Amino acid sequence: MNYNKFEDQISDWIENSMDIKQRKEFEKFLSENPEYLSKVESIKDVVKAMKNAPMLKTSQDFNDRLNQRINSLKNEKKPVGIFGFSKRNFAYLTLSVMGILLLSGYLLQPSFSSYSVADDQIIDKKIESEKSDEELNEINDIDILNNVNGSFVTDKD
Amino acid sequence: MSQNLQMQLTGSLKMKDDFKLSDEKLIALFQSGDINAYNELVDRYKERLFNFVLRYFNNREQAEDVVQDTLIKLYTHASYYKNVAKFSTWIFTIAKNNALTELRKNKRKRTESLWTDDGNPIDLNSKEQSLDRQTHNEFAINQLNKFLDEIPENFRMAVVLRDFQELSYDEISKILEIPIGTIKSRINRGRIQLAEKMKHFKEQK
Repeated sequence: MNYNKFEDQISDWIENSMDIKQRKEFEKFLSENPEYLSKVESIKDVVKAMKNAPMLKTSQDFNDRLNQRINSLKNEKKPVGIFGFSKRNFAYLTLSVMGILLLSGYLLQPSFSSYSVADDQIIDKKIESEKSDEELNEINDIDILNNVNGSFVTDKD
Repeated sequence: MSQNLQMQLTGSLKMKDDFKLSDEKLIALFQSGDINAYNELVDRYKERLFNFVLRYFNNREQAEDVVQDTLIKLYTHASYYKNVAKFSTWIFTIAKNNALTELRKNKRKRTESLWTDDGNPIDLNSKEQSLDRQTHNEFAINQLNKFLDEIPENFRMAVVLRDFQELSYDEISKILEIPIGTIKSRINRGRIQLAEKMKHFKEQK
């Protein structure tokens, strides 16, 4: 056993909570190093003094003050609740619900919907393609007319 | 008249019986509405809790307030106690938590020490306590109390619960929420430090 182990076990020895083997080892160390005996004795004295120390008293009006506080708790009127909630909690709950409704209403508007944005893009593309179709048709019409005119001219000739 | 006397005798016998009841039995009685059981628990624990909480604050007023808060909690939350732990463990845990909450609010107030430089306790009722009236033993205990305040808080609280409150290691471990091995080590270290301070003090005298 070294000094550190000895020091760690002082309380166990004082409280008699060691097994026989540990106890013998501890006591052997003490007999071989009698200079540490005074250390063990002084700790023993400290423990004994603390165990026998009188307790400090609470002030004389401690119980009266406690009873007053308990009585005031008893007399305290419980706040009237709404649907089982306190007024404050009910107000918070109402505000939260209103907030959620407003937010969801705002987000679900068609103009703010991501789907509607995509739809708009599709419509724009559709219009553009319709426009280009119309232009193509116009060109085709001119070609046809040209052809017709041409053939007419050709026939005439 | 004789009936009255009989009632008084029965009452006093009942009180004696109540006094012998365990803490767990008393809290069970209080849970079923017996206010006398609550009063008995208050009488049993107010000073133990006070002496424990005092080690956090070193200020009587604050310590008393925390003990009152603890006993109010016992009154309002008695139904929370389940008979799986010892009552003392439960009530000391509440007191510790209340003390730590209060400490977080105010930090540690060391403005008014309970122990004078000579190691004498400051008696709030009569501050002029004569040293002559104290025995040597009392003087040593007061000095010990002063030294206890000087060791680290984690050692101090473990030592206080073990040596002043005489709780088991298991209870202390539950109250302070620290493993038993650590508790044992802290108590041992705390005792060693106290013994060294006492030895040094005696040598100086």
